[in-house]
This record gives sequence, structure tokens and C-alpha cells, in this order.
Amino acid sequence: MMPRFLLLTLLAAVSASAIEVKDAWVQAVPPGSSATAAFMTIVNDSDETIALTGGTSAAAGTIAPMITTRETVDGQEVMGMAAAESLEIAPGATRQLQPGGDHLMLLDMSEVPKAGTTIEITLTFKPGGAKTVTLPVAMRHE
Amino acid sequence: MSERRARFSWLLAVAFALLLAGTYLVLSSGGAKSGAAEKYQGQIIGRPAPPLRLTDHRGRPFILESLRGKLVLLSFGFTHCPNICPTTLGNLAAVYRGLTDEEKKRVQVIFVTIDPERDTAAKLAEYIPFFQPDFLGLTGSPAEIAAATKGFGVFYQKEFLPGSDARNSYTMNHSSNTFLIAPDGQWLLLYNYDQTGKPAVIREDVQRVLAEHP
Repeated sequence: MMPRFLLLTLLAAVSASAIEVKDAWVQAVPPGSSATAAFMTIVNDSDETIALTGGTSAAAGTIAPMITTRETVDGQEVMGMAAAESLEIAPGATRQLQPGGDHLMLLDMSEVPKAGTTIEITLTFKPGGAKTVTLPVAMRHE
Repeated sequence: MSERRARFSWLLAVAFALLLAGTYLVLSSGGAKSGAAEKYQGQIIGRPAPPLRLTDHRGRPFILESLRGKLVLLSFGFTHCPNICPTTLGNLAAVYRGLTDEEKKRVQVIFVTIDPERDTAAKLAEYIPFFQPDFLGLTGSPAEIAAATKGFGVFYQKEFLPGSDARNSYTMNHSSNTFLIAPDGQWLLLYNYDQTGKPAVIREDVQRVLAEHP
């Protein structure tokens, strides 16, 4: 019984350290905004698929994974987003969450994050558990 | 009998001539189009811009014709947009920042909301200047927004999201293109979202079009 428990704990620990989150940032948005997006690069160094299921933060009521949809309607490109249960990262793969693509949406923000400040988000991975990252708030283009 | 056959041959000849003329027209206009396409990065539209009759973010009535003589960069979106719209407006601000002061005077960037329920003029007044104080936000009644988007072939649709705040419980799927209207009122070009991500490329077109309309 004991060795099995120990083994599970070890496995979980391996998963957590096998996830690398880098280049994470939050889109700076104008005063009065209620939502923004967090972008990052996630590296899965483990041999199992890892799902990013969301996160928690003092700055936002809800942090939800979103996928960006792109279709053509009457000859025009139409983009939108749809809630996803999770964003999966295949074993050994790197997944980029970037503007115009999939992202974590921050909803019901307690205050509008200003460029130059930071936001702390505890990301939830399955498996892998929680991982806390500090994200700078920025306007990024060109 | 032979008279009827002669008439038939004559009709055939006319039909053939029309077919030839049609083919020539199609080919020549196609040729002109590809020539123009090489000139600009954007996709050529090349027809008069449809009307826009809305209210600007300062609460003043707005008609597109009032900007004749200026080049307009036009995009559609909504202020509760967490991803696409701030990125597009940030990129258009980058296009604008790289222009000379003289060029800036001849360029107007416009953001039209497709979420008139939430995006009042006051809301746009908070939102738009954040990206660039010279930009203009436009709103209107749902019917006015419907008319404005129809002219430009812009699609938009509500999409409901899980969330605790009912006011924010929906997002909008919408056309992510940016349009360039030349100083003569011609809706000249269209950029897709990825092209909008290359401000230097759009700026090049803007400067070229301005030079063509001194």
C-alpha cells in the first residue's frame, strides 16, 4: 500500500516539473474593459498529454481556456472564440497561446490591468497540478 | 427554309462575337486586377465605399462622406473583445505611429462596434483613445449597425460563454478584416487578420495610396 502511494506521489511530482511555462504575458486593455487574455508558451516535457484546464487569480473572477475560431462567411474572414474544457499539450510538444489564437481568457476582473504591472496566475494542469506564474501586462505589436 | 437557315447562321455569328467580346472583357479585367494586386499588399476590392451613418465616440453624428479626401482604415469589433480587437487596434496604432505628421493628417482609423447593446458612445470614449487619441469609435442603434455592416459584407453573431457576470456572458464572432478606403471614397483594399499583424506592410500601402491621391 505504502509503496504504491509513494509511486503515485512521485509520478505527480514528475508531471509538475515536466511542464515549462515561458514568455507568459497579459494583454493590456483600455480602462472600462472587463476581460483580457493571457498568452504563453507551454512546453510539455513529460510522456503523457497534459491539459491546461484554466487557472485562478486574485485579479480575475474566472480564467477560462478559449480557442479561437476562424471561418469564411460570404467571402470574409470571421474570427471568434469558443470556450474549451482544456487546451491539450501532447507529450514532448510545445504549444503557443498567442494573439489571434488560443488563449486563457480573464473574465470579471477586479480592476483593469495596466501595462507595466504584473498579474499572478495559478495555472491548473491535468495531470501536473498547479503552477503559479507571474505575467507582465503589456501591449505587444510590431 | 434557306432564309431561316441564314437567319440562324447570322444569330450564331452574333452569339459567337458576343462570346469573344465577353471573354476579352473577363481576361482584360482579370489582367488589370492582377496588376493592381501586385501593387498593393491588401486584397483589391475597388468599388465605392458603402455609406456609414453612425454616432462617433464623442456623441456626434458621423457620415463616411465627411472624410472624403482622407484615407480611412476601418475595422469592426467590440470592446469586450479580449483577443482579436485589442490586437488589431494595437497593430493599426503601430501603422499610424510610423506615418509622418503630414500623412497622419490625411489618415483616419475607425473602429465600428458590432455590439451596440454594450458599446455606447461613452464606452467607446473610454476604449478608443487608449490605443491612439486620433482614432474614431462608432456606434449606433442595432438597426444602424446592421445597415453599416451589411454594406461592407461584415458578419457578426453573438456567442454565449460560461461566466458569472451576465453582462459579459457573451462574446461576438465577427469579421476580422480591416478595410482601406482611398481619399476618393473608393473601398480599395481588404486585409485579413494575419496581414493586420504586419503593420509595416499596411503602412506601405497607406503611403502608396496617399501618394497616388495628392
